[in-house]
Amino acid sequence: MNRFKTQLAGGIAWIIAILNFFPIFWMLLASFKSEVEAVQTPPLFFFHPTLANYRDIFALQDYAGYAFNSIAISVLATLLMLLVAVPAAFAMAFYPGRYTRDILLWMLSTKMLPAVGVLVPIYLLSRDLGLLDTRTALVIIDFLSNLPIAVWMLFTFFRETPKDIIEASRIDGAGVGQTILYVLLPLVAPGIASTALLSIILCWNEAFWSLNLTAHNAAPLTAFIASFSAPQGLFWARLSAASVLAIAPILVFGWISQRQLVRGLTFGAVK
Amino acid sequence: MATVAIRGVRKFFGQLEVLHSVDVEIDDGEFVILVGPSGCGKTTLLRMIAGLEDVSHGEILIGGRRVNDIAPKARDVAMVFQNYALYPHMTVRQNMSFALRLARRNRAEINQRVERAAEILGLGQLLDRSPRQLSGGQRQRVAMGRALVRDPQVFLFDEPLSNLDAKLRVQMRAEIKELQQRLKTTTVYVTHDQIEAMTMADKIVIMRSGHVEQIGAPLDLYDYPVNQFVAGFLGSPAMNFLEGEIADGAVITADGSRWPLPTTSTGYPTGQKVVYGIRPEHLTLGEAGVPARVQVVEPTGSETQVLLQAGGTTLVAALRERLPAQPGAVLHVTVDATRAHLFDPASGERLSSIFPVSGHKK
Amino acid sequence: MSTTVIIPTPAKAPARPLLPRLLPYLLSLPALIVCIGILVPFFTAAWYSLQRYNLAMPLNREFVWFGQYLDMLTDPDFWATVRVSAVYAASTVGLELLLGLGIALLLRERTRFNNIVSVALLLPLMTAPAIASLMWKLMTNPNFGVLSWLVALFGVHDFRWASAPSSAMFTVVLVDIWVYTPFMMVLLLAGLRSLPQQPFEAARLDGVAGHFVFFRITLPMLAPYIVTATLFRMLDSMQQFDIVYAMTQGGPGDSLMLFQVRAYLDFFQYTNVGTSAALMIVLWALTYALSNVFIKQWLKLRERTHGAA
Repeated sequence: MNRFKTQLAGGIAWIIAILNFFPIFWMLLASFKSEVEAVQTPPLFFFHPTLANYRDIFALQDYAGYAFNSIAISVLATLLMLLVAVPAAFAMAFYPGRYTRDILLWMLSTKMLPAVGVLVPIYLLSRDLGLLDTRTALVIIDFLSNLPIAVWMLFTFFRETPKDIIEASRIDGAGVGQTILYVLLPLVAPGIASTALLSIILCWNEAFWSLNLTAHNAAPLTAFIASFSAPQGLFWARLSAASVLAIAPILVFGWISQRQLVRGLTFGAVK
Repeated sequence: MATVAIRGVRKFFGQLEVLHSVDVEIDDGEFVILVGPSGCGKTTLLRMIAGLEDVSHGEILIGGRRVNDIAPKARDVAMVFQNYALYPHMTVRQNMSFALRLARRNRAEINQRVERAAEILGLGQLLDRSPRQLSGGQRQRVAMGRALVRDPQVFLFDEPLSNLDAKLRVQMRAEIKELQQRLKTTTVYVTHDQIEAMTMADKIVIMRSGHVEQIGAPLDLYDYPVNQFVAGFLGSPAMNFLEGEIADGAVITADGSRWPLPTTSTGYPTGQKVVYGIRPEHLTLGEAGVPARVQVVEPTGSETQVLLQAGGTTLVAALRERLPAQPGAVLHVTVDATRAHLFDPASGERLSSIFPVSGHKK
Repeated sequence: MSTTVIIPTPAKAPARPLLPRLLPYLLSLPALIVCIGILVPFFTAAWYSLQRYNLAMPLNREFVWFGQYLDMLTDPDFWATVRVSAVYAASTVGLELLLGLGIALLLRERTRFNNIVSVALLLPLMTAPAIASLMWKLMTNPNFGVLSWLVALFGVHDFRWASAPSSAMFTVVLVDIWVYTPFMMVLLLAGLRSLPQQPFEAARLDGVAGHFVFFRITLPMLAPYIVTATLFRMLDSMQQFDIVYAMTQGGPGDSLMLFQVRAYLDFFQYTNVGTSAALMIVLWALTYALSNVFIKQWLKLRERTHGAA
C-alpha cells in the first residue's frame, strides 16, 4: 500500500515535471523546424531539424549586441544594487535602531508602486536628461526597482549570523574592517550570492522598461524578441529560435546556481 | 596575568538600570565566578570587562590600566562564549590561530602555540576538521583552545558548560579548574549553576537584580551567608527556612514547635519575628526533638534525602546513613544549633552573627 | 529611579568617538535616499492625476482636483477594469496556491528525485514572462497550436483560446499559472520542510487520520508561509502587465483590461496622461490596503505559531 502510494506520488511528480517543461520543449522544437513545419497541423513531433533559423537570426540581427546589453545591464545593475544594499542591510542587521523595522517595511512598500504609473514621469525625465535608449537608464531603473527587495533579503540573511561570532572576532583582535573581511563576508557570502542571482534573473527578464525606454542601442534580449514579433509578420520558427537564444543563457545560469536561487526565493527565512 | 578592578560600575540600557554600582576586586591569578539567577546582570558585567558593552558609569581596570575607552582587541582578554561562537568557515586550527594571525605572529610561533594548546585539550587529531564535524564537547574544547593560544591577561567565560550534558559538564568543570591552576591566568567565569561556582571558584560574587549580594570564598559564603537570598541560593538541596517568633530561648513556629536559637550569639530580643534557616545536612532524625512525618525518602546512594512535614512546613534533611523509615512514619528531628541562621523576614538580612563576615557589601 | 541618585558626570565628552556611532546611519543613508528617490516619480504621477492632461491637447491642460477620480466612478470601463483585475488576481492566486501546495506536499520528502523535480519546476520562473507568453501563443494558436490540436482530439473543435472573449481570461490565467506556480511551490516546500516533526509523529502514534492531520496540523502550521506567498503573488498579480500585454494587449474587446494594461493604453494610444495617472493611483491604493490586511494577518499568525513555543 505504502509502496504503491510512493510510486503513485513519483508518477504524478513526473507528469507535472513533464507538463511543466513542455512549453519550453515545444518552443525548442519549433526553433529547429522550417517556417512551414512550425505552423503545420496536426503538429509535427518528428521532422528533419534545421539550423536555418539560427543562421538567419545571426545574419539579420546583432544577437551579440543585444546579449551584451542584457549582460551589461544585469551585471551593472546588480553590482550597483549590492554596493548600496549591502552596507544598508549590514547596518540595519547589526546596529538596529528603534525605527529599523519601520524603515524596512517602508522601503518594501515602494515596491507596490505600479510601473505604468511612474512610466510617464520617468520617460519624460530620461528624455530631458538625454538618457533614452541608453544602458545607463536601464541600469538605474533595474537598480531602483530591485533595491528594496534586495535590502530586505540581505537583512534577513545578515540577521541570521550569530552575533557572538562577530564579538568573538572583536575579542580576537580584529578591527571592523578585518571582522567584515575575514568573518562576516565568508559567512554571508551565500546570502549575497542568492540576492545577486535573483537580481540578475529579474533584470534579465525585465521587459517593460526595456521596451519603453530603448530603441536599438541599449536594447537587451527582451527587446530583441520584440523586434522579431512585430514588423516582419510572424515567423514562428525564427521567433522561437530567437526566444531560445534569449532565455537559454539565464536558464543555464539559473540551473547551475539552483541552490542559491532557492535560498534567495525563500529569503533564507527557512531554517 | 593581571588584576581586574571593577569600581562603582553602573550600566543603563536606555532608562533601565541593570547594574547598580558594582565593586569587585580580582587578584592576579584568581579564579572568580559571577553567579546569580538569570537577569541578575552577571553576563552584562562580563561583557563590560571584555569591552563588548560600554561602561555607563564607574571604571574598570585591567592590570591597573583603565580600560573603559579601550577597544576589546586592545584589552588582551580572551573569551569563551556560551554557544562557543566558533568561526564555521574555518578549521579548528584556523579558529585557534585566528587571533595570532591577526596579531601577525610568525608562523612557527603560531604553529607551536596551537599545537601546544591542542595537546593540552586533547584536540590533536581534530585540527583539520571544521566545527560542524565536531561534537558539542569538542566544540567547547576548541572554544577554550582559541582562548588558550592567546595567553591573555584575563580569561572570560560566559556560561561555557551550559550546553553540555551532565556527565561532560562535571568532567569539563574539573578540567577547567585544573587548567586554570596550572596556568594561573586571572579568570572571570559566569554561570547560573551554583554547583559550578562552589566547585571551581577561588572567589564567588553572588549577584541579584544588578546588585552584588556577597563576595567571598565558596565555603565562607556557604557557611556565613549575609542574607536569606545567598543562604538559599548556595547549596543543594537548598537551606530550609521556617517562619517563627523568638520566645523563651527558642524560635517558635506557627504549629508551636520549638527550634533552638543559634548558639553563637546571645541576647536575642523576645517577640521578634524571624526566619529560621538550617541546612539539610544539619538536621538529624532520632527519638527526641520536633515531631516530623516522613513524606518522601530519596536515597541517592551516598546519602539519603528525606522530605519531612515539620514545623508547619516541608523540610529537607540530608542524612549520611540510610533511613529504614517508610513514608508516613513519624520521627523526631533535631538541629545542630551551632549551624542555624536567623534572618529578618522583611529585609532578608541576617540577624544572628555567628561569625564576623568579611568582604561583603552591606 | 525615583530616589535621589547622584550620577557622577564624567568630565570628558561621550566616551565613544563620533564616527563609529554615526557609521550605521551613514551606511544605510544611500539606500534611504534612493528609496525616497523612487517616490519622486510617484508623486509626479499623483500630481498629473489631478490634472486634465492630454499630450495631444496641450492647451487643454487644466487642474481639475479630483474630477478624474469622480468621473471614473461613473465610467463603466473603469468598473470593468476593477472586475477583470479582481477575477484575474483571485483566480491566478487561488489556483497557484492550490497547485503549489499540492506539488509541495508531493515533493515533501527530501529524496534525490524530489530535489531534481523541484529544481526542474523552477525553469518557468527563470523565463521572462514576455517570452513565456510567446511559448503559449505558439501552443494555443487556434489554427496550428499544439494545444488546439489536442483539445480537438477530445472533440472540442474551434476553441479560440486567447482570441475569443469567453476564453481569453482562461488562457492568460493558464500562462500566469505556468509561470508563477513554481514560486508558490518553492516557498511552501521550504515551509513544509522546516516544520517541526514532533506534532506529526505524535499524530501518527495516536493514529490520527490523514486528512485530519492535513487540516488540523499541516495547514495551521504552514499558515504563515501561505500568507507570505499569497501576499507576494497577490501584489504581483494585481499589477500584472507583461503576460497580458504580450498575449492579448488587453483584448479581445475589454476582456483583459487589467489596471496596468488600461493605464498603459490610456497613455500610449490616447496620450491621456491625467486619466492614466489617476488609474494608477487607484491601483496603488488598492494594493496598499490589501497588503496591509495581509501583513496584519501574517503578524498575528506568526505570533500564534511562534509565541507558544
